[in-house]
Amino acid sequence: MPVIELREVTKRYGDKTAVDRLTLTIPDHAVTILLGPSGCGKTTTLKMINRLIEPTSGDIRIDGRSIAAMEPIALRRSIGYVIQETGLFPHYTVEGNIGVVPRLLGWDRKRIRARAEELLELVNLKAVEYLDRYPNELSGGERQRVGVARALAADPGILLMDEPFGAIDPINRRSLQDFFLGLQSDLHRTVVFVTHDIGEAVKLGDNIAIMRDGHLVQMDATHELLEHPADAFVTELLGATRSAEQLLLSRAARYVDTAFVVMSTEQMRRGGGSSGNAPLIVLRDGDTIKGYVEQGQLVTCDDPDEAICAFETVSGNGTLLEVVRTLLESGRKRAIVVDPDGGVLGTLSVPMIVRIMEGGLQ
Amino acid sequence: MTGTFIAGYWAELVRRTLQHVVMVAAATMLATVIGLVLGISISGHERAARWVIGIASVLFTIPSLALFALLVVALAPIGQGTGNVPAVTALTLYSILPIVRNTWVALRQVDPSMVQVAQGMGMTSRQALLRVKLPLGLPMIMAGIRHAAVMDVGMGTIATLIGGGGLGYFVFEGIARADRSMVLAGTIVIALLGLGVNAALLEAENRLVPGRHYGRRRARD
Repeated sequence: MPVIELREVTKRYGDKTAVDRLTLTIPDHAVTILLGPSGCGKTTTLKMINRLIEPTSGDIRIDGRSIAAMEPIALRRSIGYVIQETGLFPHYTVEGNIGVVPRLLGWDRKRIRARAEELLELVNLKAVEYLDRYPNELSGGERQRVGVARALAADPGILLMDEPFGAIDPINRRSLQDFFLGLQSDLHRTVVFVTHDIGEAVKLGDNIAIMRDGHLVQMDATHELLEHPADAFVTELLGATRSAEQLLLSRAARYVDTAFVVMSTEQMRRGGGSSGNAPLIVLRDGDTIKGYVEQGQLVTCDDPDEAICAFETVSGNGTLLEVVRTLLESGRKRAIVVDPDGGVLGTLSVPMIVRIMEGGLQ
Repeated sequence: MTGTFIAGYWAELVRRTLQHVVMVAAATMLATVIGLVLGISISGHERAARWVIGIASVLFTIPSLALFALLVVALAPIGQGTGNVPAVTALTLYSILPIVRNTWVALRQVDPSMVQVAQGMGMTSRQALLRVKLPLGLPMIMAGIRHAAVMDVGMGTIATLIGGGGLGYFVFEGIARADRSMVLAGTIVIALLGLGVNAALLEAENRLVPGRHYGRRRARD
């Protein structure tokens, strides 16, 4: 899967410099956010990646190949492109819209229909119900799901998303963001995502590149950026995000305690628990998580089963706030954080989250 | 009275109505081809657009009777001074303006983000034109064609004066003979023809792009 490298990329319009010697490596399989105030050059940068805009100077490479040497039409067909909800063609049905790139690539009708059905299922829309509808018969959220499905039609390795959820009300935007995270955790595409919404950036981004006046100010993994802002501009920009509420809206998966081992109940009973170094044992028989055991308690109990603690499972794509709420409502001490496939990512407790917030707010 | 006239001249009415329809259809089709080609080729070329639309506007302002007469003179050297050729030519020249102007405006009005998405997904500029811009601009383009066709139905009345045939015969002959029924019959048929042409083109427009009514089409199914 592709890595995108920008080297000394500059775009000038007359006297105005939109993007100024931007050097940036966008890692593969991850969501990289281009964040910054309007006019900072983030959209220009995005459009240079699929050559909707040609750089004045500099080089952009995908997987080491310079895109200037590629045929722009073929390049664009190999990259998924999503813009605000206006991006669907009003005169095409949902199937027609999803089929745009496949048709350009010369797929036959049957294959396009099958692909459209498959993608609608993927974005949680019933194919029979939606294939023949026109965009103006869909809600804003549905349109955006179709927009994402359309971008994925020809199975591109790279997705370019230009403020895709910008025109959607806050509640639907949140659910679209969750949907997008779930999708990405299955598909692992290389995503370049432009937004000016800091909350969205923190929630969706594995990495965030902050731009200002055409320059790159800082590019780092999201938690790294929150913890170590490079300068006053970034600190100010992230100001709201670094507040308690915003931190609580970060993804749980990013903060889990990974000091644990997984074993079956049987293994634990046979004494396997006391041999490991991890302070915590997650018990798992087949696909079912049975509970967890704290190493320390195991020693003091005669019957290992007495040491098994009740727990809550939460999705790694959920926010820290959701974890806190779940734990407080259930009265459990720990939540086991899982990925969509049921894999254990780690655990979280309320005191841990408090510590995370103390750290983040310093 | 008019009723008796229509009964008496039935065959003649039908023959001349057909002539009129053929004349209008020929002129509208020619003008559509010319207008579309011009309209598409000037889109995105501001200076060319000003010139082409300027010239079409000048043609449009020449009084119709004068233009017919002018063409009689102009086409006489090639032996086509009277009859269908100057009539169709005159109607075509008049029809170019509404079509070229509406095509130009239609293509300009298409939401730029649509065009950008089309490009961004890898359409060539030709594909973007045929698959996105023209379909989205179709209502406006069709309005121009309807305007031209309905205008041609009316203006085609004059064609009879230069031997072009059509329903104008009844109007002018009726005036000459002071035959009110004859004038009225011709006028009524011309008016009906105008309404019919408009309705037929509206229907054609609805069928041309299945999704033209987008959501509403589904509700009707």
